[in-house]
Amino acid sequence: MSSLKENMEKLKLYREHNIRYSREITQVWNETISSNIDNLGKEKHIILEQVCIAAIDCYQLKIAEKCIHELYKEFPNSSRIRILESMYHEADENFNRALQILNDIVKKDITNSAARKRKIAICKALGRNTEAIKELVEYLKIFMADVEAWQELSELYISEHEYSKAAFCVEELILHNPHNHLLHQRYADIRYSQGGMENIELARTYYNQSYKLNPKNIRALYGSYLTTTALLNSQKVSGKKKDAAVKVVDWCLKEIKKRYSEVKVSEIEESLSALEI
Amino acid sequence: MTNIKFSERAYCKMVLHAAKYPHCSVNGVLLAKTPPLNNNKEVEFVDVIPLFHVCINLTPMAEIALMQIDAYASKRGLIIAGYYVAPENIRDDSFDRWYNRIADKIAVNCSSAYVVIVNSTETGIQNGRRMLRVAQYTDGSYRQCEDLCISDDAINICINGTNEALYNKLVDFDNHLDDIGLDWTNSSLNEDIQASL
Repeated sequence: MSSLKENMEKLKLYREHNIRYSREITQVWNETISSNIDNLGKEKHIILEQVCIAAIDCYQLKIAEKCIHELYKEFPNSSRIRILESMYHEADENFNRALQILNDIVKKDITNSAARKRKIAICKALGRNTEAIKELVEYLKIFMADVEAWQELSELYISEHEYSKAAFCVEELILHNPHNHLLHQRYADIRYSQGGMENIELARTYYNQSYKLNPKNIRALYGSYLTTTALLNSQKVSGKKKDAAVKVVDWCLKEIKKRYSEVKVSEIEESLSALEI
Repeated sequence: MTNIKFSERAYCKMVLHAAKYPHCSVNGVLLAKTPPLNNNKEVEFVDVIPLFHVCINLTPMAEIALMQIDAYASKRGLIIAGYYVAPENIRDDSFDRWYNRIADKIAVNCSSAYVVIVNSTETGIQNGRRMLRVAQYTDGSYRQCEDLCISDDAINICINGTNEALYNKLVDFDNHLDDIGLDWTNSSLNEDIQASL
């Protein structure tokens, strides 16, 4: 059993790094926090909110109810807590009640983006992905700078196999955050999935850029290897370009092997031989 | 009708993969013994390789994974014979909805390929229910199979596994790409499962 202070540190770490450890959070609540609600100091409310969301995630509705109750005592009119309440109903699959609360909030405060996003989440929960996409597009017309929403939209498009639209969303994300290697890699992943020589060329450029931004990104390295191999196998490549491509493939393979020899997992290492052409 | 058998290792790893990422769709491939498919009476899936949880419908890393898995499997006399997916939304369990190009590719290489939908809920695991829907996949159409053979041991390991958070030990290919020191063949988890038989 760890002390209250240690557990508070733990929760803080989860919050700061945005990690979804809902099971661990509810466990921490049961161990120490629940009996010490009044000893949490100024972190009290933020912890209650965190635990509440985690509990909803794990369908521990009793815990969530307790947190919401505590929070309402302090802030009886807060829309942030109203949203937690709607999430509680959502977890209980009482979607109509949840929607009612959210619509209420939006009516009173048309700039409340969190409530609008929960409404889209409900569409997703009901399995209505096309409707969720439509709503999210409407949402992005108003809140254009919402990076999370663009990310979500791109993932929804990918799940519907609409790759070119998904690519557009990621372009938008790259504009917001041009030095993020993961975005460049994601863009390349999408273009490659789309297929066709032009897209593969494009994917290759973005994989290389991603690798340049972060040489530790093994996905980007694999991607460069894969796209360059595809280029080699296509008919159109001639003379000089081909020689260069062969060199790139060799270099990628050497680099990949070097990475693996550093970590020494023999069983996996031998499977790497499958990559050679 | 073909009798489809899942080894403890294969079944547990699928369920644990879904339990590790309850908020994501996850997928992976099933390995069967060669040559399993000539007599068409019985297929035994002996192992699975968990693939992705971040974004399961993108292909480049899947290609890399499949190349390596193929080499791994053929060395052990196994063949990639099925594709499994555990949907993000448990109600969303039709086979068509989870169409994936990996399944197509497997069907090309293997005369009868199978698609498995893992539809696990925590209470379902605790109540010892079998949570798979299996279909044979040929030429883009699915024929659901009813004759599934999953041992009680496998079910019990899943019950204990979720209680003891065994899923934290499971490594999928996404984990491996984040840190290539992690072993996607899950040899240590395989031993744990073997030991609890």
